[in-house]
Amino acid sequence: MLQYLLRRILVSIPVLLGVTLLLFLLAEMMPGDAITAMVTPDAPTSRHALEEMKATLGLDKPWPIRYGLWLAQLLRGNLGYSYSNFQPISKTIASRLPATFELMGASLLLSISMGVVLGIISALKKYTAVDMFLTVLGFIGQSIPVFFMGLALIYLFSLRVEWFPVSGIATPGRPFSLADNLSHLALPLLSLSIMRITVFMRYTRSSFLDVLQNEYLLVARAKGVSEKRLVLHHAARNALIPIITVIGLNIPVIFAGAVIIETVFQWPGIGLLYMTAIGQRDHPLIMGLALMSAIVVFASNLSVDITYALVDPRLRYD
Amino acid sequence: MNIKTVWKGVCALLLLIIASGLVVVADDNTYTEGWISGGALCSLTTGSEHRLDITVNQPLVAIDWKGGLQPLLAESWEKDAEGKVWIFHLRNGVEWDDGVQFTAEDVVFSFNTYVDPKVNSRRHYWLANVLGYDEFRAGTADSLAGVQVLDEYTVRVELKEALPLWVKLSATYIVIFPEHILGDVSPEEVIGDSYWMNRVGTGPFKWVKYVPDQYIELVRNENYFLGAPQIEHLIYRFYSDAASHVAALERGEIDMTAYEGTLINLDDVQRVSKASGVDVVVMSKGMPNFIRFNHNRPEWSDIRIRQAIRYAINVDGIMENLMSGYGLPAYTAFPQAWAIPDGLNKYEYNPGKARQLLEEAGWDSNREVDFVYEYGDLDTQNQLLAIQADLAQVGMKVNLRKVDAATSVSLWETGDFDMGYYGFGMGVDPQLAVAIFNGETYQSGGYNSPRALELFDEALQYESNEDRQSYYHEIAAIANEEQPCVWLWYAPRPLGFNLRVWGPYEHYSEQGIIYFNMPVYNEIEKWYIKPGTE
Repeated sequence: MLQYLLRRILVSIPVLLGVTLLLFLLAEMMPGDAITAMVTPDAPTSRHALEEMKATLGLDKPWPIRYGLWLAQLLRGNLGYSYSNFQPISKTIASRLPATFELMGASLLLSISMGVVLGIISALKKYTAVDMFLTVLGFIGQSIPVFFMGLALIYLFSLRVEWFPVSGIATPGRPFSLADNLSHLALPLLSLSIMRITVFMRYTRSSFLDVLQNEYLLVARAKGVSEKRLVLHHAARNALIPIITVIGLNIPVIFAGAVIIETVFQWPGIGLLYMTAIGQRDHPLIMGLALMSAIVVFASNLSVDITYALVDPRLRYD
Repeated sequence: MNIKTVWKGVCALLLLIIASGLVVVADDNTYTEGWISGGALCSLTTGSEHRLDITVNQPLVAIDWKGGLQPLLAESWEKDAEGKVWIFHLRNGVEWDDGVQFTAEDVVFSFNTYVDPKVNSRRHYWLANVLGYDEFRAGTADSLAGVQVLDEYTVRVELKEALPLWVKLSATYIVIFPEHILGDVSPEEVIGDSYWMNRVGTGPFKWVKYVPDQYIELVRNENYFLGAPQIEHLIYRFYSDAASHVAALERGEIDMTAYEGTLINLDDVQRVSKASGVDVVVMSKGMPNFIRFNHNRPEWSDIRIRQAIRYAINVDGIMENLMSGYGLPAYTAFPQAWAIPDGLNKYEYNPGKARQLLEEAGWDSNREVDFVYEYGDLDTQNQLLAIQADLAQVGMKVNLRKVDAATSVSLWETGDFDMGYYGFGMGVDPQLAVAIFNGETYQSGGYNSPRALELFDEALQYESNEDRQSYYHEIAAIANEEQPCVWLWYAPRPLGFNLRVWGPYEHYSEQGIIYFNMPVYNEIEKWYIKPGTE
């Protein structure tokens, strides 16, 4: 197992480097750069002035040199400095992670718990009114664009009935309070989770339906096992294996932040940072964020594979 | 763990959360303003976010809300006969927020910081008329020769040539920073210094904290030289999304919407002003919106084609139907009525004439035109769709393409550009339009008018509007005849206010026209929360 782990990690290094090169090229291909993003509209600006400003950021060098410089810096453990505010990238990203974890983690927890529970209910009450109702709700939840969902929730629960604040992570100027934080979390959490709940619900439902047909359940029932124990103990364990896959593949999402929801709700997470970085053509920040995402995807894929081996005795890696 | 107990727990938690939102908290004398997220916080780099440059830091002299001048860190100033040498008498006894005395050293340091090529400020242009600017920028001098400390509270500024209006047109853009803090930072690192996220200033409010992408909190400066503000806390609250920004106003989370972006659409003005305690003032943006061309392409350097475009667009129709009747049509560059002569060509809507001009110019109706625009608001989109349809009627196929700011400047750089929809603030003075006539700048799209540039230079010799008027009249006539940009309309900008605060609504109503990209003095130390409101 240890050998397997080491091998995977070793192979990942060239893959990650390849990803950074690809992302660097993509960022280069975006029209404009950090200077054109910041030009002030009323001060007469000539081409010469733009060139001067670019030179101070090192943007006049050809791209292989700039990539090389970035890589060299990275290998020394430094992600560089933002082109727009010159703050260290690692610090900027780290400062955003707690808010991201909070929103995305809560969303994942909510979606998994509600999704699995509703999926089980749906599966057990297959083809009844409850099942139909949940299915239709599921389709609706997956069809509404998350942006619209966010604004609709603001309109309903922030303006029409003033239950929740419009945006932000806390009321400004006040000391931290959990209730305040949670009340700001509610609407973005809901906007984000509705679609995920429906996805998990569908997966769980079909996985459960699959497992419920198996013969060992018939045997257990014949043995006199209660329906509740049958479902929760025997069936669930086996039904959950594919669900672990889905959960595992969704973990990188916790680090990615939800770009649209964070913009609508001004949630200070990674998503909002990404949007700002792209608008400002802040290449070091974009690269730092992209690299972090790549590492997280790799790590979570690896964890899922390991979890399989632990959960399913039939799987062994060597 | 029973499912039922879990559900009960969740419901209880939910009720607790809702309840916490409903609790009415006393406002504790706080004024909150909306701020558009994503902009720079440093005075040296920001384009338009200058509120901190009047509340925390300050210029020597600021434009006030009536378009006059308010002495701030300079108590008075005088010039020699023509306006080539200026002496500023600084206010005595002003302290920075950390207790250090404000002196002439701070002023000279700040002026030099704006211009220093190693600092790489985007706003060095505003000191271009100071003696020694070119040498400093070129690296042959290491400071501005024309700026000197005469004594602890006196600064002497010598210009390259006499400019009687220099203070209004340039000095009002220059913010003063503490030499004792930023002077110790190497020039390359000034813009990135943590000072900008924890400013020390001389203004009516002091910095408390900055929570990235959330808010900036300020507290009143008890020692402010124009009197301690009545408001105790000032919060700038960040928003990325226009709809949330406006919802926050309606909800009472902010007391004023930011004036930088289009937040309230024109057809929303009525709806928003009906929200309880809220009112909307439709200001003038102080600029014409126009179509800028790439004059390096033969078709756009042909005046007939540009005039044809103006004849083809039904400006009055668009304003009536899509702008809810707000705004005014524009026939030339300047928003100031005194700078515009009578008798300008109004280019009355005339598709027939447009077609005729296009034919004369040999326009190929199969040519597809790339029309870019930056503003993402609904009003702009509707207006541009109407323009697209109008142009299609006369045989010009236009493809609308939304781009962001970084892209639109780079399109001009690479020359990969047909036309685009733009505007920039000229509210303070017609002089600000000069970039449009200077072929080297991106604002001109390559159009160069030596005669107009000459006139702009000559106008600067005079101080009063009466004396300068004839020059601007001639420039306006050139701009009207040649349509270097197709002038469309003087756009309106609705601003939303919560009437629980006395101050912003009253001052902006009186101001009427927005002065972009610079600090504006509007007596914030006198604003207050009306008693009995929350």
